[in-house]
Amino acid sequence: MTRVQNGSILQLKNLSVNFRTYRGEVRALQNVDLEISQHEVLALVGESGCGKSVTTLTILNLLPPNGYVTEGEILLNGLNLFKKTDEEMRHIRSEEIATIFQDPMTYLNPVLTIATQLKESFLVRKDFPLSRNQTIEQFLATKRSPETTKVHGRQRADIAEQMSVDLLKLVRLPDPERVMKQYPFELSGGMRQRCMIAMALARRPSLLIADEITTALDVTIQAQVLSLLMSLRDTIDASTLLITHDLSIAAETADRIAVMYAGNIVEVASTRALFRSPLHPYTKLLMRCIPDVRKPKARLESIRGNVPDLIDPPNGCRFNPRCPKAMEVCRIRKPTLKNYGNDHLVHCFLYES
Amino acid sequence: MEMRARTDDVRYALHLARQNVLVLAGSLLVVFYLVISLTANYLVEPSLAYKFDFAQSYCWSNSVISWGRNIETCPAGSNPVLGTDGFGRDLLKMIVLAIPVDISVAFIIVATSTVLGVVLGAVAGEIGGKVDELILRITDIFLAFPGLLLALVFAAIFGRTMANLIFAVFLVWWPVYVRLIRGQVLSEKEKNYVEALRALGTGRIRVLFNHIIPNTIYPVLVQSTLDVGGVILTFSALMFLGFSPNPALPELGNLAADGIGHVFTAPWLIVFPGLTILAITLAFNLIGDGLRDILDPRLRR
Amino acid sequence: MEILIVEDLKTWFPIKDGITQRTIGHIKAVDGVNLRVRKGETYGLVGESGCGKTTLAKSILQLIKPTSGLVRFDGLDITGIRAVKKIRRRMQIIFQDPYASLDPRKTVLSALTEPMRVHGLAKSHSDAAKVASELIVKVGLNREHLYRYPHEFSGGQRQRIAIARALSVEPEFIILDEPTSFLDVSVQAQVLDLLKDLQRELQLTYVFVSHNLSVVQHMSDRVGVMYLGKIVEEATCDAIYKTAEHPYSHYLITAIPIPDPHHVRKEKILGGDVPSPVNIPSGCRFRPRCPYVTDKCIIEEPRLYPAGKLHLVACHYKINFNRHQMVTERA
Repeated sequence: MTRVQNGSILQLKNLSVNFRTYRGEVRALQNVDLEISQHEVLALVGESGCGKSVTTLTILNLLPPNGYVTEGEILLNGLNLFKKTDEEMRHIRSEEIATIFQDPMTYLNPVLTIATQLKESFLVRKDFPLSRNQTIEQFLATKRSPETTKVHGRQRADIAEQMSVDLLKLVRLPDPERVMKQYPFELSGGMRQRCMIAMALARRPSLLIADEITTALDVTIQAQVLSLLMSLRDTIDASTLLITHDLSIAAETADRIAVMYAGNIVEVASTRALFRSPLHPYTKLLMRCIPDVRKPKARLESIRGNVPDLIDPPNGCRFNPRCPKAMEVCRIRKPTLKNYGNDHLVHCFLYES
Repeated sequence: MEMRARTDDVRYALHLARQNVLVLAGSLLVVFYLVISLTANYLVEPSLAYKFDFAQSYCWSNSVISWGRNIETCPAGSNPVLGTDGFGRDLLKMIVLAIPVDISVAFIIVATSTVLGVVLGAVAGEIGGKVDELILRITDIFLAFPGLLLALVFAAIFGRTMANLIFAVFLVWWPVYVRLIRGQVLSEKEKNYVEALRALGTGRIRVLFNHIIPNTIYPVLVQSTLDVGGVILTFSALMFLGFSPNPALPELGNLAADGIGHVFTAPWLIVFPGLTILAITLAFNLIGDGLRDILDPRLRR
Repeated sequence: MEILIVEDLKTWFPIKDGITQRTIGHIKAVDGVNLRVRKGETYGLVGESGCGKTTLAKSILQLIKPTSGLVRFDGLDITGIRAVKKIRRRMQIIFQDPYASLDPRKTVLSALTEPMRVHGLAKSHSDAAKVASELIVKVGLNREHLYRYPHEFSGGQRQRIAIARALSVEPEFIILDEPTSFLDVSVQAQVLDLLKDLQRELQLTYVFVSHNLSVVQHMSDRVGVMYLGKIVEEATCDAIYKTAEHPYSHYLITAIPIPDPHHVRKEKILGGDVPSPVNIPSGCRFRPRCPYVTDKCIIEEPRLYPAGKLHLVACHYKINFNRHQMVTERA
């Protein structure tokens, strides 16, 4: 990779993940290289079955028992995650990486109030520093600055309560005191998602993973949540990995976009560069498939064929059976990474001279 | 959550069988017992059940196990592998003859209970309303009775014939299936494909029997398999308590009943029939568990 | 010629008090909808969750019994009708979830031939099988696929099978309830274009229900925007997307993410939550979220005012969204 490596929060290097099933080995991720810098929003875009959720689970070390890493490594702030023990990984999941998932109803504890769950995020470690007289914005920004005075016991609980209310205000929940006393089922989908965002922020992570967080939401609520995320960028000191199947969402929120297909990263570029000149045939086709409400078309485009079976994927480039530009070499070998200039990366033989 | 087609079922079943030794053992045992049931009449001459020889009743001559001091040894010339019972019959041979009796009784009871329970439960779930209420109340009444007691009372009133006894246990057994399938039908009814079938104009009965029941029958199948063991236990308990139609009937509970009065002088009469009941029940339980693992879509993968 | 006429349709679900089973309120999922669909056209029904569009679709088809109002199909009053087999042939529905709309234990062949047998459309099993194989090819799959089970197919393929199944009874009218929302965008177009081709070839009439406005825009001739059980705006497809007059429609359309990083959203985003149909606000149902609300909106529920050719708006005012100001009050 030619990108500047220091200042990178997360690096996936040559990551491959398989799943053992009774029908055979599913080669879910293949030689995935990904990098997220500080303060950056990277969107991982791909359709169903491309491996984006598997990527999230691998980063968090939450693969199901039949999933395993066959090669590669994951570096968080330079630390190799695979060398961590389970206990260390738990600490990392609690303090360094915060994840927001698609369906908040199944990820929020239905029998605890929002207050309990939110305060837990603050109080999660005994020596987690909380100080009096700190605004929520200051709290969120002090991740890497020197510690403020520590507080214990009853006062911590009170401060956590106050911080929770402030945090709910920050995520634009109306009437936060009331929400604190409510249970998840009493809230709407958009409100629950905002609570999840609040809980994630409370941990002051270095990396925020947002896995299809608006897929289950109505379009007006989706717009609210996305606008909230964008407004929080300056307040929080974290990078964001935004996983979505919707390129339009990526266009609105991301600095850079990585496009995935069938377990491979096929193209990575800044958002503007990607839309201005998409290089990979899959990216180009995908962009043509998206309807643009400003310019309705007579015929919508599609990509012929189906997503390949990852137990027996095609030889060479996995996109070759559906690619309008497929060449002989595409069926034999896998393309390597090419930097097309300005860190616009693509895996395609069309660009290998 | 998807249901797999039959060929995939078989593959997955074999995969599971390879993984789970107990399931494999259970399946082999069941096969073993089924084979014995089918060939019993060839292994042992059936008329032996009614050839009594009181000269050698309650005797043991197998030197492998020693039961203690009160044991009578068998007269010279006869060498029953597992001793003899009160009628002087070779216990092992009687057990072999008893196995098909118990297994076929169990199959009859389980099959009829399942059919009745499924039909009633499915109809209750599908139609709902007053019909559902009625069927549920009747089921509850039967469920409220302690099984064995109800069977005893029935047999006591209507006489101790084999048919009556089978019917008695059946009476006690069918209610479980009603609730089992009713719950399944209620939730399956809400599924999209059922609505799609309605939208296509398919009649309710057809949807129920052609679509809903085949998709919800799995827990019932698992329960039936597990119940084979339970039925054998209940039925042999009935015999054991003295409700056998014929004291000489080769039936595991019956054979054990004979042993109650001779616990110290002929303990093998309780031990071996009892062990056989245990083994058959265990075998069906194991295979039932395995079936549940294969058939439950949520436990897959 | 109007093939479907819906007049003041209401579908209310009673809320019962737990112990006494008294009715303490109603979920007014559909609360007075008027609709007219012409033969051969596609009417797009748009709205977010809780607006009642799926309930409306099912009420039209009598899969849910409407509480009051009228549904007339091809001149026939089918409201609350019980023996609906004949109607079921002519009006079909494609559901949203391709993974759940097919019986997982039946082959594709069985799924396609059963409706034919139910309606007596095929004289023998081999006749039915022949029709089934024609249908499966028509939707873009192969004859071999007839002998497979649903789980062996992808989402897009299953929707095609569902379409083939709906066609097996030779319907005239099909309600498409979010047929592509579970499908990838690269496959979506295949199914949508198939539907369009079939419409042309078989002279079908569609009601296309979706929350995805871009997709509705692609498919529809006319569009109705639903909010809390009522249609708040109805117009031709072009008119809705270019010159929507109801504030809700306007915000709905501007909330759609645009696949262009240079696009800057000029509009404010609509605040508040998607409401629930249990407590419907007095006056205009949209007023709790509407930035242009006045006293009149709180008291009087707006009827559908005419706003141009084939354009109806349920709003007391005409608003200039660019200048963020009210222009006139409608008569």
